[in-house]
Amino acid sequence: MGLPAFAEGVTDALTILVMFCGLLFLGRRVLLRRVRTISTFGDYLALSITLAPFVSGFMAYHHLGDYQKVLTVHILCGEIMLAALPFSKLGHMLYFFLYRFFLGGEYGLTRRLRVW
Amino acid sequence: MAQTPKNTIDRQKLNDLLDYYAAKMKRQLRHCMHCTLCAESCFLFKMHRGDPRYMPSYKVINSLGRLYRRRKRLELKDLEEIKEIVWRNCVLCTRCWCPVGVNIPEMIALARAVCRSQGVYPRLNENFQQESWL
Repeated sequence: MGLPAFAEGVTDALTILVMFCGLLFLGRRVLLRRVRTISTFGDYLALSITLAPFVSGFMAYHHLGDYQKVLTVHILCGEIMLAALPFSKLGHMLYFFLYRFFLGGEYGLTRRLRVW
Repeated sequence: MAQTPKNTIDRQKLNDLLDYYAAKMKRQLRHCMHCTLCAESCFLFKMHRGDPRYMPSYKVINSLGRLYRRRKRLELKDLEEIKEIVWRNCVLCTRCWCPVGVNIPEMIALARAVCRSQGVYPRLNENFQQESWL
C-alpha cells in the first residue's frame, strides 16, 4: 500500500508531451528572427536545464543506454534544475505571481495606477 | 547658432543619473524574460514588418541595458549608437505592453535623459534641418 500513482502509460504520454513542448519552445527560440535576436545563453541554458530531467528520465525508464549512468544523469539533472530555480529565469514561475503587480508598468496593487 | 557637441563623457553626471535609478532599472532589466510578446504591441515593429530592432525589449536591452552593462567603458560613440535607438526606433507613444509588467517607456525615457545629459541628442545641421536618419 503506497501513495496512488499514475499509470505508466500516462506518465509516458505526459513526458513525451513535455519534450514535445520543449522542442516547440526551442524551435521558437531558434527559428523566429525576433526571438533569436534577443536570446542569450541564459535562455538556452534555462530551457536545457528544464528539459534534461525529462529526457534522461524517459531514457532511463525505457532502458535506453547504460541504465546506471542514465539514471545518475537523470538524478543530477533534477537536482541542478531545482538548485538553479531561484537563481535563473526559472524562478519567474514562482516570483511572477508576487511581482507582477508591483513592477513599474502595472502598479495595480501599490499606487492603484493601472494602465489598462 | 551652431550646436557644438562635447567630445568627452562627463562621468560624474552619467553615474549620478544611472545610480539614482539603478535598483529599479536593473531589476526591470533582469525581469525581462526575452519572450518578445512586447513586439506585437509596438506599432513601429508592425509597420517595419517585424524588424527585430523595433522590438521594445530589443530597444531597452540595447540602450539602457548597454548603459548599465558597459558603464565604466562607455564612450561617446556608444552614446551615438544609443541615440539612434531611443530617438529613431522609439517615439515614446507608451503603447508597449509587457506581460511581466516592465515599464518600457520609463526605461527609454531614462536612456534619452542620459544621452541628453551628455550632449548627445538629435541636432539640427547648419541649414536647420533634422539629421537625415531621423
